[in-house]
Amino acid sequence: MKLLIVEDEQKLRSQLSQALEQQAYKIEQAKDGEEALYMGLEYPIDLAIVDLGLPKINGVEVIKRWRKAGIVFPILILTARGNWQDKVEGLDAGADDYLVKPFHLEELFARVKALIRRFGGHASSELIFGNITIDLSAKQVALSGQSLELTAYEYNTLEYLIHHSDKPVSKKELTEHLYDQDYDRDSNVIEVFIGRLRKKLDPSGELNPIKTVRGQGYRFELTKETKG
Amino acid sequence: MSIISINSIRGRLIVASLILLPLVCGVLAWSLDKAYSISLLQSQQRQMLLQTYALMAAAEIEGTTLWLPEQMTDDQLNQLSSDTFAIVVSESSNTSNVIWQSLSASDKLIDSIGNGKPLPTGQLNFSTMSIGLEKYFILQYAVEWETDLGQVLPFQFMVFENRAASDQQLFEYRSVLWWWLGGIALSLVLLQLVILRWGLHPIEGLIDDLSAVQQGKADSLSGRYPNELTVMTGSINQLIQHESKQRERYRHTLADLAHSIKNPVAIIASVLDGAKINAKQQSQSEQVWINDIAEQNERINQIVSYQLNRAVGGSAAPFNKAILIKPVCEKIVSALKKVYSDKSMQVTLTIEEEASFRGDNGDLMELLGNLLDNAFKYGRQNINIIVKGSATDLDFSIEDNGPGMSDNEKLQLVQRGERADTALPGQGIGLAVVNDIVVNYGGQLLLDNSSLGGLKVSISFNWR
Repeated sequence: MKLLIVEDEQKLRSQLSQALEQQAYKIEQAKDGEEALYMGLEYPIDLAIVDLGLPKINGVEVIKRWRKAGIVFPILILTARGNWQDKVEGLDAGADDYLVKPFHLEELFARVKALIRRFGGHASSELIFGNITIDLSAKQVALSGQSLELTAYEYNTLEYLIHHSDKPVSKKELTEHLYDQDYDRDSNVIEVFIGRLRKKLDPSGELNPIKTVRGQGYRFELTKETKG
Repeated sequence: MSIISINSIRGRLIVASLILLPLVCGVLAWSLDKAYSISLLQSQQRQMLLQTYALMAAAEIEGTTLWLPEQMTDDQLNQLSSDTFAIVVSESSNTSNVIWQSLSASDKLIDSIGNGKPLPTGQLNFSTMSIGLEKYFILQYAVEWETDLGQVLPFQFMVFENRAASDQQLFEYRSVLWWWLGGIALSLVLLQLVILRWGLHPIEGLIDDLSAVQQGKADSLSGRYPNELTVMTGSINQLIQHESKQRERYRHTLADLAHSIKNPVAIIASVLDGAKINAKQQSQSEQVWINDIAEQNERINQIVSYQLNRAVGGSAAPFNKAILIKPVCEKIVSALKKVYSDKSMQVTLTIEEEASFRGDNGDLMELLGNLLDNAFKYGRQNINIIVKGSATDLDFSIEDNGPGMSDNEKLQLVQRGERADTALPGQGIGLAVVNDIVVNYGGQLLLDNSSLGGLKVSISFNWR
């Protein structure tokens, strides 16, 4: 998942980037509203964290322009003052959630996960597909109750496919969202991850959870079960 | 018709007019009456003096006796029952004798007149006297007549005129005078009322405009006022604008201050959180140290947040604008539904269209934002918002079906507003901020159990 962090305070920006990278997210950074506007429009972003008090173009205006341009990724706003006028203005402009500075990283992680989950159309953080259980909150996958050992890239590939199960996802799209901007796009590493995931999720080869759609990419095929 | 109040300018002017006009009319009437009476008497005196001169002209001395013709040229002296008659009295050293009387004096009780008042020669006396039931003017003139032998004889000519005609004339004059003066006074009072209304109209307009500003229906005094009031209205407008601009300036300054303080606090919190995540790499004492700093950092944040909120908060000022509750409430609910979209909350809004908050928009947002955020956070599925209000009152309640609160918790939450620095780490300051705003605007906050099962927060304001 690729996150865009828009924060003018360099120290905070790099700390947030570092902390979120440790959570296996790919991070793009913008230091002002102008840069943020460009990156949001041009880069394959899955979620943006936007400080409201930005130089050049303020956070609310950036969000308004993104939404006006048809950008749909979830947006989490950060506000220093924490007053309701700012929060409501930000949410009204098109943001989906807010966090008041200072905040705990755990809270930030939880909000980011919840927004990505909600954007993927999942009401709960625990998704059940037959004998496969995925905990979006803990970023863990279990097969018939047994925890599976997935690498961060393998997990991110699976999560991205689950969140976009309504359509085939191309290798290019997966690469853009799972790797840094300057990653070598010709690599066949995505095919390798898909192969490994298929083996781990479906050792017997009966379920076929990830289907290859010829000429279009991959699609997660299993249907989610409702809890309870 | 309203009762005249001495505390109003209009009342005072009306009372002054009601006292002054009759007084002026009374003095005027007395003066005119006096002037007319004097003029009437003088005219009467002149007329009687002429009659006396006519008598004297007709008189002739014959030996030692004064002779006058029986028939006089003035017919009034020749007719019985005439209002005018005359007598001539001869005055010796001891006695006075009527030596002549006009024909008109025949039916008068001239014996009751006596010999008249003795007067020095050449002296004229004009007075009134009663003869029987009638009142008469009397003009006496004492003269000396020299005979051919050089003897000087004293006589007194006396002319009488019944006062009835003169009194009637005076009465008619007075009637006309009082009717006219009464009419003029009444017209002046009515005119005065019209002038007062016209003169005080700009002040009444100013009062209406001020009232609109006080009720928050207008931003400034925008009417057209006379020159005498423009200095005052200009000053009031400047005061309102100055207050508004100053509050806006405070808000910007505090926003900058918040940004400046909160960012370093956020960096510290982020560093400490990062350290906590990697707790395995630290010794126990290092972990305690990190926790202590994190706790103090959180406390600094709470105090800064709370004090910044307090600093920017408004109060029940006379020129606060009225902000309609409904659009603000709907906006916040819509924003919170987005944030708490997982919970699918059912929010019932029952808000009277005219219900408004007379204060700062930021304060209203804080008030509703904090209360609704709590309701969304703790409520399970249902939230009821009821707002009733008029130009002078506002009552609203927000209730949820969450776990609610114990009586102790309710008491602590409200009391904490007095000292935010005593708040325990992790406790929110939302309700304390709400309580502060309510107190600043002279309102009342009540925490109760909701019929939905959770907490019911009721707030009431009275702007009167």
